[in-house]
Amino acid sequence: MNGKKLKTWRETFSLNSRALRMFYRHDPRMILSRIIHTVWTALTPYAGIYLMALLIDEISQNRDEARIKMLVWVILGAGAGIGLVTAFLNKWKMTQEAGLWYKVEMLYGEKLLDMDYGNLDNTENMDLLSKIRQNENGGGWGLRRVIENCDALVSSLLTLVGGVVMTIPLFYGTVFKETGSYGWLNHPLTALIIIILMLIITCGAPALSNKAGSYWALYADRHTMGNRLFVFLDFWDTKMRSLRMCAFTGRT
Amino acid sequence: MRIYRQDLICDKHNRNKTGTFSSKGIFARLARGSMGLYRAASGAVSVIFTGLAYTYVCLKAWAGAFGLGAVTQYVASITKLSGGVSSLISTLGDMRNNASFLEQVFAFLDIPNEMYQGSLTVEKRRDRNYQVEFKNVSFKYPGSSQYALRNVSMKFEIGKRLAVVGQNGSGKTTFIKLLCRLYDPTEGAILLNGIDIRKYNYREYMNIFSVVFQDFKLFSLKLGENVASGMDYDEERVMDCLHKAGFAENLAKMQKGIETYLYKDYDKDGVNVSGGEAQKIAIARALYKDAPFIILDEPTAALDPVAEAQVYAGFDEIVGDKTAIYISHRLSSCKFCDEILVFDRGRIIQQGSHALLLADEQGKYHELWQAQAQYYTE
Repeated sequence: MNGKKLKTWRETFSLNSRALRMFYRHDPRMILSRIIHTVWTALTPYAGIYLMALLIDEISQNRDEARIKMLVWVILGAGAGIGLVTAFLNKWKMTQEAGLWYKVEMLYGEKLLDMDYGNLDNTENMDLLSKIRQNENGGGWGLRRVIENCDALVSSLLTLVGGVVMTIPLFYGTVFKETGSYGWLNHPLTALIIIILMLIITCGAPALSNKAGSYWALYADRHTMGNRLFVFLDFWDTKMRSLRMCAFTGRT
Repeated sequence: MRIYRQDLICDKHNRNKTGTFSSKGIFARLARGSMGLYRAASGAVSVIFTGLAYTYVCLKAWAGAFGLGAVTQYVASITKLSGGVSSLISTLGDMRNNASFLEQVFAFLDIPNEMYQGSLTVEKRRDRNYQVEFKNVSFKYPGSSQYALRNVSMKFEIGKRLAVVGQNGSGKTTFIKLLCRLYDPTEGAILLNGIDIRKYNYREYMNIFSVVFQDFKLFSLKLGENVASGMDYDEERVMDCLHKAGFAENLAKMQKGIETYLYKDYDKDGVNVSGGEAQKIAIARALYKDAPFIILDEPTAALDPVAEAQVYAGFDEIVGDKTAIYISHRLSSCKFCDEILVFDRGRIIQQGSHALLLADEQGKYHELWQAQAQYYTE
């Protein structure tokens, strides 16, 4: 195995936060638009879930016509309002991130123009830049991934918080004593076991998925080399024809 | 490729490298093995979670703990909560995987600048009386143990035409790079008007040179923008520079004149210029800058003999009152220069006019001259 070691968590946060700060320095509005969009889209579904639950409860229990009508109007109004705001935030976010590729290229370009000519003339440095570009083109790894991960991190944290707030009543809601054999559902140990099981399963699935994904990072060098030829060789399983196309376009 | 069947040569070489994504490659083996197992386990575990959540919520609802509405609320919330936790762990893992790639990015962005940055402004002189002196300059390329230049000492006379000749690898282009301060000398100093050039503001110092290197580049912009190196330019001056560089005939054929785009990247009516035409545009660009020093590195290498003769004939007009430094392998072009520097293995071994150097039959210049001239005699 010729793979690299993964970074420690400390190094991971340090590198990612440095990248984020760099983006913020160059374009604060892009970061701001993404965070606001992410917060909004992470939390607004819970409003829908809550209002729908109220409506279903009202229909299945009290059936108060006036209240049902009111809830329907509230749900429709909230849906429309949320939709409008979401559309606006989407547009803002898309506009700000439209030039993201160019902004990253500009970072590299500014560095190239700024560096000593001796470093520019150094093949090791240019090979490093080439590797960086191949990582970006091959698997999307690098600076742009930081932005995507930032969105996902904020979204997942808020979704988690919202989920916890909405789910807490589930565990302290008690069943009626008359139900007999279902009384064990009221026991705190039951809730604890369920929570632990859910946590294990919830953490286990992505952990297994990440383990699978880590092989891409560990074998990045081989991936970079193979990616140069991937499109033309072995893809169509017609080696000679593919090879001639590859050579013609100068990709050998 | 066709004549030499180089595709066959590449085939043998590349077959070793294509294994990565083939069905026998490392990633395919991983997909069938540990990587695939982890992915499958991840999917299975997610299904188990959904079943568990539905079972608990429905049992409680059946037992009367809450109503129907709450069931939808809890199922939806647990699903979202689970999704949030999964996404969080997945994102953290992705961030960790991405960290090693970020390290490479910052390794590049953190490459330090070690050249001393001076702050003196270069004196603006209308008489172009700039004096450059190499004082015992030696230079080694970074990482090399061999000197590319050794104990070079000489002075530029203002307004003169200086030719630099020598065999390949003798140090001619290195000499020019040091003069333009692309590199700093390893030993010795280069002076401008008696002051070490390292003390000058870098950009200000660069402004006194117009250079045409062998590997110059033109952009897919308008001809005028290429010549002026900017979007705003003096049209008459651009055309004058193009005329002096011998591009007049080509310009007359362009319908849009200096508004014509070079190449077809941005305009389908753009013009693909030949090597010779590109070289003339590059010379025009150097002229437009109107810097006190003009440096031409093999400026006629891509020109045919007639075009080359035109450039030599108009050389005085092209250069004007500037100090010109001219690198060439065609020694015939050095005849009109005031002084010739002969480089050999990083040293200046001869210096003088064409006639003086040619008279020295034991000298390197005579040897180089004879090597070329013999094929022109009948």
